[in-house]
Amino acid sequence: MTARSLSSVRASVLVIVMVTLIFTALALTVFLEKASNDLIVEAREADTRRLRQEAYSALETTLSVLEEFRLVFNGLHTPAEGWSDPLSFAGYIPTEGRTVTVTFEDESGKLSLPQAGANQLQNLFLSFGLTNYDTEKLTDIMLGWMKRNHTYTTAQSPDYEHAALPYVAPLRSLRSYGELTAIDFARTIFFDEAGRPNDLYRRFVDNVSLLNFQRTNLNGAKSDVLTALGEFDETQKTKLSDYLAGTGQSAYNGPGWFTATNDARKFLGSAGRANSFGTTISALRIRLVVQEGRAQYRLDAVVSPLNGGATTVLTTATNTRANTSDEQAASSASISTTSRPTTTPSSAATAAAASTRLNYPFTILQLAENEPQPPPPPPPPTP
Amino acid sequence: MSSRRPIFSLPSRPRAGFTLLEILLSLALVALMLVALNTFVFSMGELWGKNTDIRLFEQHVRAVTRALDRELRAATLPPSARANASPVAPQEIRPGGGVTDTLLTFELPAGTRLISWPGPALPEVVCSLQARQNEGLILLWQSRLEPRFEADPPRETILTPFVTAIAYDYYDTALLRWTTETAVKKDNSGKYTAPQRLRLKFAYGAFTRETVVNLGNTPQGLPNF
Repeated sequence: MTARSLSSVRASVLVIVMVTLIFTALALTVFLEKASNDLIVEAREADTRRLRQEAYSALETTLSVLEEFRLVFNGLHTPAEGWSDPLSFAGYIPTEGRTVTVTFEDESGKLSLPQAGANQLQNLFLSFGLTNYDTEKLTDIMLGWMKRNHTYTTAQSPDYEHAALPYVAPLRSLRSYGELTAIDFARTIFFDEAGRPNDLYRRFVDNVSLLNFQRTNLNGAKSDVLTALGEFDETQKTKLSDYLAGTGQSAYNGPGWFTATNDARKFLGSAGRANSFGTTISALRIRLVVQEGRAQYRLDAVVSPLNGGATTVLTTATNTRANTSDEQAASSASISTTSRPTTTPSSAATAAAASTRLNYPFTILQLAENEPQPPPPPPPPTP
Repeated sequence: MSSRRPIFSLPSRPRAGFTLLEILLSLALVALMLVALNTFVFSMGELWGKNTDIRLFEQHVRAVTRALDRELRAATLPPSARANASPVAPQEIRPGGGVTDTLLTFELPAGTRLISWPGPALPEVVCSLQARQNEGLILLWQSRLEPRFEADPPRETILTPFVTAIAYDYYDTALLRWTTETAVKKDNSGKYTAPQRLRLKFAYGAFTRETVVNLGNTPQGLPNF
């Protein structure tokens, strides 16, 4: 064999190997692309199942820690009491490779929508930066949606019954923030042209609770709520904020909290309406995130302590609403069922009923698993 | 002038080349790879070519079951449900043009993405599930805010055309065993009882699949499902 023919044989072998490798790579790429589409959903479901148990374990631990603090402090007031990191407090160690993050939001630091009157709603919408005309109209229309025997004061009253899809106002407080899309004018205020929530919607969600509780907790009150409900000026708000966060003038004392409204009134001065607030948490939102590698599971729970805690709005727009009192429309306490079915509870429900004997210290008001996260607000326009 | 090669010379550099063993080994490897590729390509063809419909059917079964599981869970967890209630329970429903039937019914306060509204989406959607021959699994839905909620028949959305039947699983706490019923069961007093599990039977040609969806209840504490 000559050197020339030998080199051509070697080249042809290399070509065969190269072509084979390219073909294999292409086939594998196609396979991975198709298989990943099929497998990604299954993988996510499997991740959810694995992490869900951890999330509920962490939530149960968190609630047990909260109950201990509640007993010691005669009610929960603020995470500054020492329960801001309940898992460390309880010595909870997640399964290896996982991290569990717990954050709190005082839901009773918001304005309770079932309890809010016209004045408070107007103050709130003004603090959002709405014009007087829009504020009055929005308040009027929202009260018309929520309250029985409301008389519209602005020129245009909504005509839901003659819409393309006729419907009626439920005459009870909102049960979900998405309900704003069904309310005339509110739809244009809180959503953009494409129907997406805008900044005002996010501000509304941040400051208004759909739960029914008597008094907003001053220790967790949002800035807009302090304006709407307390009618505090900026100096008072800064003083309160410094006191609660342990900054500014209160930096030396560290984070503080009030246990009596009178103390708050003395601290803030006579101006404003400190007496409108309470000092204990009646609804607490607990956000848990369990992370394992790239897999994540989110659990969002709102709990209220027994006896005096917040309640949900369960009354529905059935034909019985005309016979239902305002108090019933605002609270779940006297409601017998949530949906149309009225049947004998299953044996599982009977077993669940037996769990009342457990004397569970909290009422679970909301529970959401892996709720889609709201899109981040758009960046401010560059000058 | 003629060139003459010396009779005895130093050994020349060995000529580069493959030995017979190398050639055989490389041929064996190439053959092996071709066989593997052949198998791979044919198996992929089997998976995505000839049996595509079966693969898609399996995917569809899983997707429908998951979607239903998600909606029923949303109906069961607070704030949709009150502690110790049966948020998913049988109820007599009269579909449009049909006879009254006892269907598993639940409520979704914030609605669901499974349905399409003719106008702005309304809250407080009452949903029922019905399996119909040759039609599939139907979601009957209506908002409580609609003025003729009690009078008008609910709207209908086909969730899947492949469900042929629904069955209901009941757990007997006395006998500690599960029983499967083709219709919702009544108790001794004649009232309908809510099942603990929903069984969906899918069929596509000769292929059948059965999936199970848990119908949870909300206890006073955290859910037990």
